[in-house]
Amino acid sequence: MIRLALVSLSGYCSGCEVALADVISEVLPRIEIVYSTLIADIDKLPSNIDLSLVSGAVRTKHDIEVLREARNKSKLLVALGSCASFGGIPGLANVYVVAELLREIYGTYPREVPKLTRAAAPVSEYVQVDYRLPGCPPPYKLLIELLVCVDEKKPLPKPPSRTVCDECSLKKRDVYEENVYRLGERDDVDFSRCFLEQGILCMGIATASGCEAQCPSRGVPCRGCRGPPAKIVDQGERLLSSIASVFSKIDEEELVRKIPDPLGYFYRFTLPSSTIPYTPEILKRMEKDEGSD
Amino acid sequence: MKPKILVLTCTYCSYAGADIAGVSKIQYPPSAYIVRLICSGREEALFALEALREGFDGVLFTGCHIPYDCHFISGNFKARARVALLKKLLSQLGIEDSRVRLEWISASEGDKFAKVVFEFTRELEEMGSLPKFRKISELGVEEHD
Repeated sequence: MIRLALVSLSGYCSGCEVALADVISEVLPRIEIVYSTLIADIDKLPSNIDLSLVSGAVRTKHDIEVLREARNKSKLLVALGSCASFGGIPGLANVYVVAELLREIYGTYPREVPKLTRAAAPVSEYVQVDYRLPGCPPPYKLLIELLVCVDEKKPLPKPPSRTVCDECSLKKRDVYEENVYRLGERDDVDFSRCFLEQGILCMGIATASGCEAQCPSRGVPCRGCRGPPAKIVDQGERLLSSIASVFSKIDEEELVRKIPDPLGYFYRFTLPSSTIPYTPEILKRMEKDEGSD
Repeated sequence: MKPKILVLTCTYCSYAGADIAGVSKIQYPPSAYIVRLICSGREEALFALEALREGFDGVLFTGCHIPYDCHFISGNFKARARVALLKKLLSQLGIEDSRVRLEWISASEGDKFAKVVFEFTRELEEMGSLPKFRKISELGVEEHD
């Protein structure tokens, strides 16, 4: 029996908890939920937690406190989902300074919003993480595997070193279209052929395997939610460099017109754990604040 | 302020160009830190991003002239596409995209190499340096009111 705590940080959408609900019938005999603010009405972290599943990115002061408390009270702490593992979608807010971000969202300066950290961060930025299970949401087979491993006290599964392309069943011919299209832009897309070869951006080439290429096999290009495979740190940069060389015959202005948002495409899930994890404006603003104090 | 420039060069054209600049004793600023790579197709965005994070002020990508000078046929096209996307990415991140520059320099163009380093150094001097990057956990909480 695992004493399980579901720690949901502020930058979360509850999709990871839904993923857990998906597998609950298979793992219910193994788990006892001792903390969750979402699916059980327990709002105080008990001691002696076997496994904390943390979802969401760290964005507020409260998040940091809850996270540190969870770390102290649990034997294993696992980052569940792309936000907790790499910063995820909320991490894209790192291109704004806080004031600008709040103005962008609310129009005015709201008083009730909790104090935000200067940049969104993955869990590993603040505490030691024993295992990362990325995915948006995490693949249910891997989630079951993880819970079974913890319950039976077996070593945790190895992080994947291969890419989505290795698992993908779409046919590859090694012939590339010399143009970039959006998915809806072409009527003659062959859904049994590699998307990238047809000029449709697919992020499988630098995304960790484990999801069994569910999206490409169902006619949707990979978005890169599983993050980088082992040994690669900056998934977005890998995607940028390799996709640029795939479409290198296109004129540079045309290429930038066709891929207008490289940050959104390539760093969709991993900006806060990449090489340049936030805009330097944040640092400039911070220096200004420190100077005025 | 003395800028630091990371210069990524390819073996067959631009490194030889830089070599010619040296052999012919053409003066250029000591801001250029030259790295020789096998081909401009090896010049990846990661090198530029890491350099900017670690305190370089600008990154100069160089290679053989477009279209058909590249020893490995298409390396210069790859560098061109990468720099185009990288510039866009940097501007999205709020970093001046002119910190990254792409120039074609052949093995005989020592004078062009010196001229480019001169110009780029002057531009970077005007732009000033980037703030030193810190870990996100060291940034703290913003007191907004």
